[in-house]
Amino acid sequence: MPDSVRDSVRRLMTDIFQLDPRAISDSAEMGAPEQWDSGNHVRLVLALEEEFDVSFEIPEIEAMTSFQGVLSALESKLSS
Amino acid sequence: MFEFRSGRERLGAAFCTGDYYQARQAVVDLLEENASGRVLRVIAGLVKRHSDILAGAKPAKIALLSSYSAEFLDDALVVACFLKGVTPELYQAAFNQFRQEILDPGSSLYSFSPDAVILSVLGEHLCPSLYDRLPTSDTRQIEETVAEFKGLFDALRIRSSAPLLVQNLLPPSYPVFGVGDACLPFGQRQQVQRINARLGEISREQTGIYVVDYEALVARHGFLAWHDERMRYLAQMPIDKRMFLPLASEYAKIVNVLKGGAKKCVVLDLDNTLWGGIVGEDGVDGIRLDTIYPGNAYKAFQQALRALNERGVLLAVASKNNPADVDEVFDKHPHMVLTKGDFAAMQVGWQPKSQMIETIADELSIGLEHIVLIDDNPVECAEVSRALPMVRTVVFPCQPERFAAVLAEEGLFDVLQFSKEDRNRAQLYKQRAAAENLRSRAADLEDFYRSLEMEIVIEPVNAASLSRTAQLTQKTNQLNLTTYRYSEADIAARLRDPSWYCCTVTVRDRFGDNGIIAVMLAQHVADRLILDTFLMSCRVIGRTVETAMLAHLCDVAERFGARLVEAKLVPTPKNVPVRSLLPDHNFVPSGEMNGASTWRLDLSTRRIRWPEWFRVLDREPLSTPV
Repeated sequence: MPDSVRDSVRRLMTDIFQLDPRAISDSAEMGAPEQWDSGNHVRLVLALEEEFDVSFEIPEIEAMTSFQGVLSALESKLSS
Repeated sequence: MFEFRSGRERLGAAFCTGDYYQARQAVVDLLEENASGRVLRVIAGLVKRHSDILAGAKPAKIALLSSYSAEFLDDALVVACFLKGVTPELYQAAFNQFRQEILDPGSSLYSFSPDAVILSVLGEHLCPSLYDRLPTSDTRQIEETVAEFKGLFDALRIRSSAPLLVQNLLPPSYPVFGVGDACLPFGQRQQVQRINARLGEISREQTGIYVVDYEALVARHGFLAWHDERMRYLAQMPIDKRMFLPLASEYAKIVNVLKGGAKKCVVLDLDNTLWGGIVGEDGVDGIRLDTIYPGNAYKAFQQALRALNERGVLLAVASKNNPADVDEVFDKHPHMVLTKGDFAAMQVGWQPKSQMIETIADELSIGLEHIVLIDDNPVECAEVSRALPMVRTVVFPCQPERFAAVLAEEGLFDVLQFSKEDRNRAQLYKQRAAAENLRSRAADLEDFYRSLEMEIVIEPVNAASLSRTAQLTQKTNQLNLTTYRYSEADIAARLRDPSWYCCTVTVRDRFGDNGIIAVMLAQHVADRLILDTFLMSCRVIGRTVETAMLAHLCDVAERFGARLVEAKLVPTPKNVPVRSLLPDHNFVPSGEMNGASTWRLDLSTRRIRWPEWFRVLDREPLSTPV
């Protein structure tokens, strides 16, 4: 996964969760930080779809509940 | 992947100027490049942070009640309102709490005291069986759904006079009977259409209720493209993210009309706007205006303008051209749809367009903020925006086939009611121009007044004039002592209160009927009659109509048993022409607070005389209840 994708994801999370980029670690997941709640999860998915011009299916959305999960979901979309 | 760091900086800088028009332009530029959710979020954040310091925008409290997770619309709604000159404070009830919020007198909705309430309830939530069951062959479901809507409207009206924007219903995406639905006597689509028709009826009967035509909006964008089935089931948000802004913009169009933001006049360029090519170079025979492309697209645009003119929007021309060339097109070109007579003002010459527009605004007595310039040349638009930031400029795209849609898309001229005055407006402005001509010839002012053969009718506001009265309070800026804006519901409340006197003024002259051109609202308090609102259309300025109105007010005060007439002047940047009204009529200053001044006329020592050149018709008795 190129760093630019990782950075973009972090920046989107920063925007949506309204947090400092440093508050979003590689081990972030839904619920930690607490701003990553179900509403913001939907916002994040919609933003990722727009940013990377992809579309996720519901099982993928449900599996994207961690920083790593988001990266691997994106990876499989972008490489296919 | 879109990078908008530099765009974001430009945007931030524009907001920091504190000037709405600069900030708006930066927002429009950015949205043109990219209207993603991320961009909307950034813009909405800036609007919220700068809402109290943006000169030129108006704050408004807007409540959105919905049956789905409408909080995802927040950013789009802030941006859409901002584009219409409103910085909104939003209130969102929790998911599917619209009934409780409306029915509970102690709900947060009412403590928020909204300026407007949007009710966005989906049909499948309001009346599930109409959507997911075999349609029944009676009207029971229609009646029940309409009754539920009515119950909600009534409950809201008891506790709030805020305008209510109610969204109508969509038919099911795939009716139970599929292709057969349209043939059934009670197909689902037909039942939903009937409910929507009833909502339209209710909005015509009850003041302050406006239908958001969701059905038409979704049809325009395409039913399947509008929806996101994943998010419908995952997040209770059935609308696709790309449709958030179009939906929010539809709400904002109505908010814009309610705050008096409808544009009144469209100023048009000629070359490459009303026709293809440049008449000065190509000649009258060389311009493109006929039945084949691109001439047919220009013709269609002229037809759209003609319909706009029929609706009461004034047309004007600002063109850099030789007047003789332009005259030749109007006189000789067989495919011109618009005639010279359709234009209320025409500026053809070589001065800057900003000057032409100022002249047009003066001639027609309309505020610059009610004017839209349409031009194919971005440089001309920029010159106008720099000199007159309140004039809205629309740069036309290179493709004439898109002109008519661009004109309609933003709803710039949209209104919520259509009055007799709207129908006749273009005619009225022509009469006014004729009267101006006569005035220059009249040797003596009183002779001029007499020569107009004016008739005046001052009568209490009634059911027929209620909507026009509210409309005048919302859009009259110049000859307006206090500029208090009232909804129909506000006026109706005063009509029920016997201490209030609310009247309209109609003036006819030898050139025609001007319709209702002025309004007074006054309240009797102890020994005083307090003039709350005095407004008059600029159309009849300089004809002593205002003197007649104040003379009438003295009569009213006397009948109420008041000793004094008290009036307030609240200065605004627009109401300069009205500032001398009170001293000119012998009112004396009696106090000042926060820039507003109070004036009094003691009826025991002073009366205002009726100007003798008016024929006074049907002066009806006081306070006829509506």
